Amino acid sequence: MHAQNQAGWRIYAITTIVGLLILAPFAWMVATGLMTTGQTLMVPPRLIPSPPTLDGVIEVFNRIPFATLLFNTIVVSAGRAIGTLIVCATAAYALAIIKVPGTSAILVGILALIMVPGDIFIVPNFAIIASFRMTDTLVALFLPSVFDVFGVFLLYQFFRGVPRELIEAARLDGASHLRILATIVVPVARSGIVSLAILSVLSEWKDLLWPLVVNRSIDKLTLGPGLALLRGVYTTDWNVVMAAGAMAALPMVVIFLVLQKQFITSFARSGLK
Amino acid sequence: MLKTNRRNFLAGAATIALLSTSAASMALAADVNLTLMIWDPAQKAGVQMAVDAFQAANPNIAVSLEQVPQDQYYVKLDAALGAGQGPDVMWQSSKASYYVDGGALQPLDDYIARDALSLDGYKQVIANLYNLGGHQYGIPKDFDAWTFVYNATLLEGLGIATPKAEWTWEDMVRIAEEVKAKRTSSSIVPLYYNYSFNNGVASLVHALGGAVIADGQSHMSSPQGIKALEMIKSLQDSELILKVADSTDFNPVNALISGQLAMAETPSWNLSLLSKADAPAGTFGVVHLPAVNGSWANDTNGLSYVMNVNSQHKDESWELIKFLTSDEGSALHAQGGAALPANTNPQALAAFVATNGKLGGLEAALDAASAQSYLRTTTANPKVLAAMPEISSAVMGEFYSGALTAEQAAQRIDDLLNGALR
Repeated sequence: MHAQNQAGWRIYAITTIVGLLILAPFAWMVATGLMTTGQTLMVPPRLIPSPPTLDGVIEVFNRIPFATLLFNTIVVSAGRAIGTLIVCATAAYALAIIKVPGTSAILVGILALIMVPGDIFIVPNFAIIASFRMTDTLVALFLPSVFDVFGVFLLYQFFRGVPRELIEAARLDGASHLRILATIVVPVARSGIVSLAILSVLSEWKDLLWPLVVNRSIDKLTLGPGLALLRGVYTTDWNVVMAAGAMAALPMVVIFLVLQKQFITSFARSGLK
Repeated sequence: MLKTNRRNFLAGAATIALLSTSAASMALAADVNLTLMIWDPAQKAGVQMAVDAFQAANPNIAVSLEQVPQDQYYVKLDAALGAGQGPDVMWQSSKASYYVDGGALQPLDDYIARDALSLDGYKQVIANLYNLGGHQYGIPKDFDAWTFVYNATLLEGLGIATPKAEWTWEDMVRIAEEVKAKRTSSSIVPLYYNYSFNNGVASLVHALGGAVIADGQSHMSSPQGIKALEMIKSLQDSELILKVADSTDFNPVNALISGQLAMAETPSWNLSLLSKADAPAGTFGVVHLPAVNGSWANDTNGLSYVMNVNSQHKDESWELIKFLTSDEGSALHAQGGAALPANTNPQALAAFVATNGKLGGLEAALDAASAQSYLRTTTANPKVLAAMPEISSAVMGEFYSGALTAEQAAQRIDDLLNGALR
């Protein structure tokens, strides 16, 4: 009993230290966001704003249309998550369940594409979007990323785990592929679907280069590039950038707290983080 | 009856809607919308002032000013120009030659001839930069000059005499040593000297009477090249400047403003940040670079306004370029702060000096700087741009950390530059 208590105490200590290490940069961001520009320039740096001020927060709203950027980010993230799920789920279904001819060759192609950095595709993607006359639109922000090879590969792995018997039984009963996908495969592989949705939303939330390249107007951008516009070339008001950063992170923190249980279960099953 | 009425009503409504939409689009078509792309947020206010004046004078032309962060500026430009899109008018730097080779920029010769615009009204060295293959592609916007800014309040508080207009390298070292001896806290940095190869080191080579590249060959292994490297390293070794390895996050402008730095070599594009800072007049003074053997050298470069070859409104774009670089446009831009105008009309420089009036001695320092300027190594030889990242990380980093001697560093720089020049 005593040994068990001691072990429990140690785990708490380690958890506390690791938790503080992880939280420290976030706390520093919030603290800097509550300072004046003068306070951020102090040497040695101050960790606690005295007195705290909302100057930085007010300045964020003066310099960028924060509410519009936040709205755009939510719309675009949702669009990307839905689009990615539809494209990846149908593609993964074709590979894992129907096993279309050439599946192995397609999978090798997918693996090869995963290994190529996404930024390489910026110029051709722009050319495609420009030929659709869709630059400077919200759809342009997420359209190229819905064709997500990583998502296809992830769902392929999940769909392979769906018992064949279930699918064969449904086929015998005359169910169409779309119906099997929607009513059998997706519910069984739910944790994979949720993981992919979360990953899509997260990567859209923090995307920087593509929105800046494809869109021109500030009211057609998302939070990532909006925050980048707050950085100067030679000097930066860090309190303003940090206040904006804290406000940009806040919705994700709230979403995580609300859906905590769901997130942890799906990531534990998918083996991703 | 009712049905017919509804159908008629719907048809009528549709016709009116169609007519009004086409009327609106016709009204819009009469107006020209131009886009102007820049990267520096510090200059946005100045450019916007000039753009506002242009729009007031040309009510049928609307200009949308877009500022893209510098790190993404050329990526965005490459993607957009490659797809036949992009802004109508944009800033260009010494990278312009690549865009000219790619056929993305519009030659301005016909417009210049049509309006009899004389390029003599601009810094000649910058105007020549944008004359490529016998065609003029850009109208100069600004040029760079380097000055030395000191925090007079800090120096006087320590009982140290401020730098005089005709100061020398030895004076600079002496003042920095005095600051080091008398400073009240070890966090006060005596000096910031630009330690980068392309600016600080190369300028010293030129001040010593040498040249980094001459006759298509690198000459860093010359006595002047080695001496320049040793001079900056000695500032670091005697702890007058921060150790170079610890300097990447050091921001001299912020440090001057917060009173943590006594003197700093400062480029002209940063001067407005100091004059806009919340510091009383007389806090900062400006002198030219310290003389080495009686001379000093300023590396200069300059941006220009260029036109997209795919612009749908070339005449209007030219009008915009012409206005932004005119005497009036340059003065307005300078009033908003930031860059030093390349337009040589005294009105433009006067506007820049007046806007930065809180910086004592600015006009004399700028005159002295532009009197002894040379074209930056990478500007005069864009081919060596490719070698610069390796020089700064693999050679200069090792040199400042003591792993390489000045002779070894100079030899490696020569090899890299000559490789890039081939």
